[in-house]
Order: sequence, then structure tokens, then C-alpha cells
Amino acid sequence: MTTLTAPETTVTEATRETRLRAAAESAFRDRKDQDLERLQGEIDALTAKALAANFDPFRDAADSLLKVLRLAFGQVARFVEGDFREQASFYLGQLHAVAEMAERVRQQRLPREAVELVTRNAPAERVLRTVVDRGSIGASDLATEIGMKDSNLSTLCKELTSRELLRSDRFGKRVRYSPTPLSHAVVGHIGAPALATKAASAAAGAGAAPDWPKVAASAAAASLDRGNVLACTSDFAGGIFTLGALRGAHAVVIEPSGDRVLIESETSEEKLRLPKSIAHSISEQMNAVIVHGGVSPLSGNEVFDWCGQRVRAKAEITHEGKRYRVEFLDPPNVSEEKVQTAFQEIEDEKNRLEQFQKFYARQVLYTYDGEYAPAAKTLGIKAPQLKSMVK
Amino acid sequence: MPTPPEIFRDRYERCSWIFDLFAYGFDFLNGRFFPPKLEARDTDWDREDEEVRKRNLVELIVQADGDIPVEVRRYLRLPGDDAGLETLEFGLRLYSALNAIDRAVADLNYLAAFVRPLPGRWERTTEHLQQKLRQLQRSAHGYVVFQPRNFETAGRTWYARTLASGRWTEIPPRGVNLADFFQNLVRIREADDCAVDIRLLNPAQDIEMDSSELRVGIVPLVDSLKANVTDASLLPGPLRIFKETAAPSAFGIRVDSPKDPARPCDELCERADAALRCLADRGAQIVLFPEMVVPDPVLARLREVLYELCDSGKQRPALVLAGTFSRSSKEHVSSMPFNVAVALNDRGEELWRQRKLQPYEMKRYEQQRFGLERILDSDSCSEYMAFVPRHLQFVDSRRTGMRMVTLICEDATRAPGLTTARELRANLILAPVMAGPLTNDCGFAKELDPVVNEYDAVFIVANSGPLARAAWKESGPPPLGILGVPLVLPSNAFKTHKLLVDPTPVPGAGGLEVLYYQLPET
Repeated sequence: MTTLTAPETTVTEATRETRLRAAAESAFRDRKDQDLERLQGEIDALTAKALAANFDPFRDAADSLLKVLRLAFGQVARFVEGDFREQASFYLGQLHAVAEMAERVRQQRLPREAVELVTRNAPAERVLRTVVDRGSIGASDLATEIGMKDSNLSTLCKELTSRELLRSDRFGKRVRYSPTPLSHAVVGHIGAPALATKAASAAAGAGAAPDWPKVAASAAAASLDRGNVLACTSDFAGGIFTLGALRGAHAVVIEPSGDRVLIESETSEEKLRLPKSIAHSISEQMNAVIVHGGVSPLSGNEVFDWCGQRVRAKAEITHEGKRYRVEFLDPPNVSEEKVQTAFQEIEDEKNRLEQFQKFYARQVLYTYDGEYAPAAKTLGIKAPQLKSMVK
Repeated sequence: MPTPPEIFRDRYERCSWIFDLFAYGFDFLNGRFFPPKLEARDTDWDREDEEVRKRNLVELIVQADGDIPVEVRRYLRLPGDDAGLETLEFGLRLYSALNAIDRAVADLNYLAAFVRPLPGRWERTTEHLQQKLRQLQRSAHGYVVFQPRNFETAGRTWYARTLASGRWTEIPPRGVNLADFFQNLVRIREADDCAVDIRLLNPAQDIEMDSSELRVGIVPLVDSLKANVTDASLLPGPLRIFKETAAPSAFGIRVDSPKDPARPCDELCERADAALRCLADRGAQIVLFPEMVVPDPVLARLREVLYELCDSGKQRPALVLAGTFSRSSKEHVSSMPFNVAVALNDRGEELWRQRKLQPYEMKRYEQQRFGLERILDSDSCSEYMAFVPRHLQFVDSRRTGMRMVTLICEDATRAPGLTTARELRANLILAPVMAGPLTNDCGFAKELDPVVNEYDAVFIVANSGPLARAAWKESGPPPLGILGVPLVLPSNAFKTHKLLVDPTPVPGAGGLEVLYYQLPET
């Protein structure tokens, strides 16, 4: 899936041009250090914008930036006498700018030692994944979750903290750990466990928008860390959008609870009540896009490509929590094939789960040497149900 | 004093920028709330942090890009009355909210080893940061800026290795400072007697140092003082101390006219050249020259030496504080010059200049001590220097994660220089001085030690010989340098500094000596 970012507004360009003009005028008129610093600050802001534009798949941001740069060049060039190409400072300035960009790129690239520290040390990797997944966790809870003694964990976390792989906050005698930018980047780089989606992680790391189904899968896989036995890997969100598109909707809204969906079309608004069992997964999938995909829904202009058509997704904060709104930007184009595929995916998943359930029940029965009563009790079901399941 | 509740409430309600909220919240909590040491309250913090996590406040703050997310205000639930604002419960919520802001902004802390402002995140704030010259606040008075890296980051640093060597030990934690609980942001109130700027070094000029060792060199440059009839010579070289004016009584340092105008300050230049090459060869990373002994011709020579060392691929210091001398400032026309320090990088390029902020007043007893009473003959004789307008320049280095500042002599012992440096958490303080002997009880040690006790910082005081030797009554040479680090040296009465007293002769330079010290010690 790809994203589109809205181009710069002309009001912003005009403001920037005015600021640059003012900064250049006072800098070269009065030659005061502070005015020169201010001009440098404006140029540094443009450098940051140039780097950000690098991650945009479309030209709009770069076009807008070039427009500003041309104006800026003119603002400064009028203070130069003679042919500036003959002056060393002209080349010095270019080297300055290139160095600035290179440094920004460098700071955003992974330090190899930090990655190796994690990849060569299984407990370190477990700690990092758990903290990234949880967002913030107390030291004792972390120790319990990954099965380490408090003292060993403390030593390991100290090393991770010293490399900016973890943040540690102390309050009285309690310590809490939370992720740093490097934590997220390293976890993204080494990929999700089991359901390795390296492409999605690398894409997320580089700033491009990840493939939605793969990100949804990695988010669902992350739910394993919260103690679930089975991970749900179905793209329920995709199924909902297929239904919406089938009904000619221009938007689908997923309520914060996850079990209510609004299908909005030009002529009507239809509320659907989804099974409660998938509510959590839907929210997780939408959140995975927001958090793992680097989408900034509050800026409101993220456009995705979903199965060949453009959709815009944004999260809205309500009293009850996050509500996700997905708008079809093009007239819905749902072929029979798409509907069948979605249905088949659900059917396949249902079959997979049934098969796994059967396998699981059988293995528990074998553990109890074929005795249905204790096996059924362990599974929390009645013996006749178990018999029927493993037949 | 802490902000009164009604003022905090007013500011909070009018505030629309997240970093102004940080400023106001910090000012309100400072002196009123600290994370308690009673274990009973720790669960309350756990609970609040879980609440922050459930509400996803950190991510919402990032996405809001400078605005204050509604959820943050909802979480804070400002109490209706002022008494409620002063309860521990609200203090804890406010602290947790500020902590969330501190965590959220990690993406942008350019002094961290790693930053990752993803596309679409923090765009507006990034622009604001560049345009406001590294300051994050918008309407709040004072500053909200990023914190420098502590010395333990990046693993195998000189700090960790020195601690492991056993000769230095950790400073026992004492006292509570609200600033210690934040890792990315620093909040300071406005210094109303001094303009403050933070410059960010361009990567093309930034300093790079091997962090596994700290190697420091000091060049006293001039050795002794010889009182003449109406002045005193600083030897060797062409520098003299004169009484510039009688009323008010003021002294200055002048340079004798050179025998060969094409080679001004020849002797000093040769000494500086040889000393710098010696320390470069030894591997010194930071070299300091003292106060008022490096006139422009010597500065030019230092730049040439560094350029030549760079050009020939030889090892050389990453940073040279090329002392100070009286210089005019292009911005301010004054009949008196300023006392200006110049910092150079490893290629001899000028990185920053710093004017002295506080005049030195040499009292009569000091004049007697230094053998200058007959020449200066006054109860108090001030430096013949301009000091205003005051401007303190901090310089941030992304490569090293350091915030550097030069505090010239008196500036290293009092406001506004020392207090502002401390509040902004400058972690490399360079102090060129012209003073008496540097002892454990001298003003520099007494005033700078508390800085390294409070947070990770290094200070280096570099003195010249004349006044120190004139006043030194003990056997052996007087200490002419101090290195302060955030560690305790049991062998120096558990001080957090080392007196540099063992000079190293510079080969083939006729009695010229330098000071060199490294951590961990060999």
C-alpha cells in the first residue's frame, strides 16, 4: 500500500519567503552573529524539509520545496558582488548543506553494535520486543514476562539503556522501561518473530508506507506476546471494506469498540454489528497501520492503495476512544472476484482454525493417555464435546 | 520560587503549544513536587504510567506535532480549585504528563546517538526548532531545549572504563533535582542579565573524538612574571601588564612592538607551535591555552599548525581552546576591547568565540601576592575590558552529544555564566584563566565541582604560569590545570577533580612545558 501526503500550501511558502528575506536582509546589512544564526536556522529548516521530501513517493513536496529554494537563493544572491562561482564560500556553502543532510541521514541509520547486541542476545531481543510492544512496563512485570530474575534483568537493561536501546525511568524504588526511537528501529529492522515480515519492517524503517495486510499480520502476531495462545491473522478490516465497496459506500467507519461499523453511502447510512470476537482484532489492525506504518492520521491526508483503488484513512479521537474512518476516493470497484476472494480467505482461515483446534485437542488427550475426562477438564469442555472433536 | 497555582492555571488554560505546557508544568512542579522516596507512593506512579500507556499519550503527542492533544488535557483533569493543584495526586499526574512529553520528543533530540523523526511526524516542530535556534518553547519565557548525552551512552566510554579501573569511584547520589527526571528536555528560566544562544555545529566542522578515552592537554605558554618600573613582563614573550587608567583603576595586557614587523609575537608563536605539536603527538583530544596570553598572531599560528597536521594526516586535537586576548567585536563599538576566547576544530577552523562576562577585580592583597602592588597600587584594579552586552554562546555537537561552553576566568565562578551553563546542562566547560595557583580550594574548583556532582559534565581549567608562580610558596611547580569529571578521586581527598601539576617538557623547545592527562589513567 502506498501513501500520499498533501503538498505544501502557498500560504506557508509565502511566510517562509518573507522570513528568509527578513533574515537575509538583517544578516547581510548588520552582520550581527544572531542574525546570521537566524538565517542559518531558516536554511537548516529547509534542509530538514528536503530530507522529509525524500521519503515522499510523489513529487509535490519536492516541487514545493524547490520553489522555496529558488526564492531563497535569490534572497541571498543579491548580497553577493561579482560572480559568486569564483568565491570559495559558494562551494563551502554547498559542502555545508550536503554535510548537514549526510549527518541527518547518519543519525537516522542504525548503529551496527546496537543491532548486534540485540540479535546475538536472545534475552535482550525478548526484552526489547516486550518493551516496544507494551510501550511502558515496570521492571518486575518485565522480569516476569520474559522469565528472568530481577537482578539479571537489571544488568541486561542497564546495558541496553547505555546504548539508548531502552529508556529507564526511576520513581522511588520502582523502575519502568519504555522504548526509545532506537528500540523501535531495531525491532523494525530485525523483523517480527515467527511471522517474519522483513519487507514491511524495512519499509517502515525507511519511511515508505508498509503493505497493509502484512502490517496487520505483524500486529496480530504481536498479540502473541500478550499471552494469547493463537494469533488471528485474518484481514477482517479488508473484509469489511469489501462489504462497504460492494454496497457502493463512499466511507466505512469503524467505531472505537471495534464491533460496530458504519457504512456511509450517498443515499444512506447503515450500521453493522460485528461479532464481538473480532472487535479487538479490527482495532489492532487499524492501530497497526497507524503506529507501525508511520501514518499520521491527525494530519488527515494519508491515502492508501487498497486492491487497486485509492482510500483515505484517518483516526479520530472521540470520548470512547479512536474511531477509524476509511473513505473510498474513487468509485468503489468491487468485482465478483474480490468478493469471492475475501469469502474464500475467511473460509480458509476457518478451516485452518478448525484443523488446529482438532490437532490441539488430540495432543492434550494423548498427554492424558487417552483419558477423556481429565483431558476435557484441562481444556475446559465436556468429555462428549472432546470426543466429537477428535473423531 | 515555584509558580503560584493561579498563575499556573491561567497559563495552562491559555497554552496551546506542548513545549510551553512542558515549561509551565515544570515551573509549577519545581520545588513543589519530586518523585517520592516512600515506597508506598511508587504504586501510584505505576498506576499513572499505566494510564498514560493505555491512553497512548506518547504517540498522541508525537502525532499532534506541537499541539496539545485533547487526551492530554483529559488525562490531567485540572482540579477546579487551587488547593487541588497542590495535591500529590495532581502533582503525580502532571509529572507523568511531562514525562510523556519527554519520551515523545526523543525522536527529535539531535544530541542523542540516534534519532528517527519518521516522515509525517514532528514536521512542524522540526521547522520551529531550526528557526528558533534549537529552542522548543514558543510563548513561555525562558527556554526548553534538548539535553546533551550522558557519558554512559554508547557503551565503552572513558567514563565506564575509568570507573572499571578502580582509581576513580562513582559519586554517591545526593539531593534531588527535578531536571534529573527528564532525559531529553531541559527547562530553564530566562536569564535576564545575559543573552543566550545555542549554536549547532555543522557536520562538516563538527568535532569527533574517540569516546573510549578522555585525553586533555594544557599549554600554560608563559611561565613567569617580572616586575619592571611601570609594568610587569609575562615571560617569555612580548606581553606586559600595564596600568591602563588610574581612575577608575584598571589594568590591561599589551603586546610589545615586534623587532621584525613581519613576525609579530615570534617567540610566543614558536612556543605555541611546539606545544601544540607535542600534545597532538601525545594524542590529546582537547587542548586549552589560558587567558590573555594568545594574541592574534599566536592564534593565526595555531590555526596554521592544525591545518598542517590535518593536511599531512597526522593525529591532532579535535578541539583547541586557543586562549583569550583583548579583541574588538564587530558588533559592538566600544573604546575598550573585549576579552575574547576562540575555539578551533581539528583543522584550525574557528568554531565559536566567547566574550568574558564578568570583570576581574584584582584586590590589593592579590596585587601584593602577585608582586604587582607597586605597578597597580590601588585597593581594587579592574580589567581594562568591555563586558556588555553580555552574550553566552553554547555550542552543540551532534557527533559527541556534547553541549560546550567557554567560561573565562571569573565567569566560571558566578552568575550569569556558571549558573546558565549549569541550568542548560553544558557538559563540557572550558575555563581559560589567568590566576594564582589552582588548588583544591581555589574558587574554580569550589564552584565547578558542584556542576559535575549534579550531572555528567567535564570541566577543564587552564592557567598560565606568571601569577601562579608569583604566588606559590610551596615546593615544586604550582598546579596550572584542573580536570573535573563526574567521578570521585579518593587519592585527592575524594574530590571530583584532578589537579594537573606534573608538567611534561616539550622536546627541543628550551624549557617549554605542557600538561597532559588522560582517563582512564595508564
